[in-house]
Amino acid sequence: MKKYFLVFIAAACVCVVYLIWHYERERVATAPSLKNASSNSTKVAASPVTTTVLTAIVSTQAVFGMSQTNTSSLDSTAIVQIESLADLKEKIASLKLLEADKYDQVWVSDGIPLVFEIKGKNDKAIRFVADFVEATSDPEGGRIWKLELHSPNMSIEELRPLGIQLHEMLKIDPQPFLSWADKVGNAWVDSPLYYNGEPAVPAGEKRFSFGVLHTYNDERPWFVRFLITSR
Amino acid sequence: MSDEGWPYGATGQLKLTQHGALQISITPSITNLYANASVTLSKNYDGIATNEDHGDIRVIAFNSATNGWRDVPFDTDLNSYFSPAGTNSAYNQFYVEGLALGAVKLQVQLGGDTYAEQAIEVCTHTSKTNWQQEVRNEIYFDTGGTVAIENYLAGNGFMNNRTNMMGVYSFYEKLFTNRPTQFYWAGLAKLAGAPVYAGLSDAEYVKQGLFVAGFLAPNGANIPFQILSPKAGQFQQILIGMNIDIYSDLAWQFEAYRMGGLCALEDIAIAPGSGGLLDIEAWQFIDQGVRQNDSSLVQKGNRQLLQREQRDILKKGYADLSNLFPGTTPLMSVLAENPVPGGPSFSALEPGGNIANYLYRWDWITRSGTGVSDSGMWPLWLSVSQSTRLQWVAQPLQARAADYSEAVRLLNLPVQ
Repeated sequence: MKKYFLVFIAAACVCVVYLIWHYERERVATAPSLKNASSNSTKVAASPVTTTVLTAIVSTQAVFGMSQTNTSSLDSTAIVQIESLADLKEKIASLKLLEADKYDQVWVSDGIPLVFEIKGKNDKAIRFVADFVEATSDPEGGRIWKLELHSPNMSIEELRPLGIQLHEMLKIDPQPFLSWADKVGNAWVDSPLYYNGEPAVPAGEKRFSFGVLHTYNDERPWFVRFLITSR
Repeated sequence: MSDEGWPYGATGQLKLTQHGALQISITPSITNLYANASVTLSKNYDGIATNEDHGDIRVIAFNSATNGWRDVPFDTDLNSYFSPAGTNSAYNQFYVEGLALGAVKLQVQLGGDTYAEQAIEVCTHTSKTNWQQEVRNEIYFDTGGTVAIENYLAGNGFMNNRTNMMGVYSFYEKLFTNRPTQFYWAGLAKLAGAPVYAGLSDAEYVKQGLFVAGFLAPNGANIPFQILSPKAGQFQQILIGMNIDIYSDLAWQFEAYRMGGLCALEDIAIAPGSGGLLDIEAWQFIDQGVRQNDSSLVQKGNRQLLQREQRDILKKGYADLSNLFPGTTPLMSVLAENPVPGGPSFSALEPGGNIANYLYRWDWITRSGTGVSDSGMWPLWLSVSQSTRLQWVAQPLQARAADYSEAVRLLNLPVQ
């Protein structure tokens, strides 16, 4: 028993050294830097946080549209209709190539808050703050066929008005969402997720859908994954 | 299977048996509609497989009044075999089990040399909820009734969930073992279970106070056990929650594709309210690859499933784990070991990177290098032979977890 105790103490000392080293290494690593891309790999890194925000209008009938502005002075007249990746890259400076193959290109912006204005079928527009954006385009980097937006972490109180707005914008009944929200509250552990969206649309048209997923954070346990697809 | 357009008013319906085998029911019996008609089923019809996952094709006659059933020999004229006056007259429904997914042609002999043919697409139309139930049933049967996966709840903690976790990873193993050239994601998921299980086991030692002795504080000072223990429990709860979310998100999709084909998933993808339930494009890649015997398409689809898991579930989870406590770091380092044997750790491939950062982590997973030391886990996973992949996946979860556990490595404590 005594022998085991000595071994344990010795091992613990080793661990102290290791963990201090590990902690320091991670502390340094909290500010990731850009890396050089090699010929056969795609490398990305988080961009520095900026105060730049983005406003976007997405029309169910047509295209992605967005303009760069401040959240406090949304100017719908400045909206530029966007459908191509080139236009999107012009509006989102933090967009980086995640990967590309012969089937498609995937571009992301992670960790930078962007404000989108999304316009539904009834012309009702809502603001959607996203801290993660992923755009998937054809392999030539032309047309975007999938746009995915993740909201920041939210409490149920923060989520509820956004959820209602999303349902109203998509002209779907919010009651199932409200019932779900009442049921789960801010308790994420073993709580069900919520999905809704438009029914199938004819080929070529854009389809809006969303899900409320776990963040695993006790204070803000939910985030919204908003999807626009057209294929 | 489409139940529209059957000849002469008969209707068809596809069902699943308890064990997942396909059934086609022909209801009502055509003999009730046409006195001179007969139905003959043969192994030779297009699309009928004799070696499906759950056994050979067979025809079953069913008595709906008594729930009784019996096998029907092939090439049997059902009209005479089950004639109203015959001994089998009580059997009023017929099932065909073991049909291959995809196009099938059934033939109805109307009398003499007159036949009516009906081409159908074998597919199962049911909900995500039902597919999830199928998975639960399968895990229950596969584990000899010991794992009721509905009890796999993050709130139950690690120790009470160990058999549930093993049941889930065994299911992934089964998926991959049954279709090693299609379900690449499932095989890698089984491998990834080892560092996850090791992290949970190590956290249990922290929680119990056997693995701390103050060393988790970055400045060397003791952290009171009363603070550390609940944090370790929180770490476990989040990690188990992530594990459950991945299982809930993806296991049923594999089951649906395996048992119902692509159309089973497409059916759910277009349903109202299904927004984001699944990445149908990923499955379209997989299915196209299977049909065209193009492994690059199959792998592309699997990679999209992997990306969905990393982006939609683990991205937020990792961030929350890393913010939990400074002491989370060593436990995170377990998760940063490569689940593919011999593959580089996160810190080796991403020096200075943060594993909680999705972009770094995705690069660690997918980077194409020139050798083992500079390649991500996905290309490494694909680069080895199928027999090697099967051998790795077949290793028991707990045994592989020992290779990743800090408690095993530093203190020679067993994996829990």
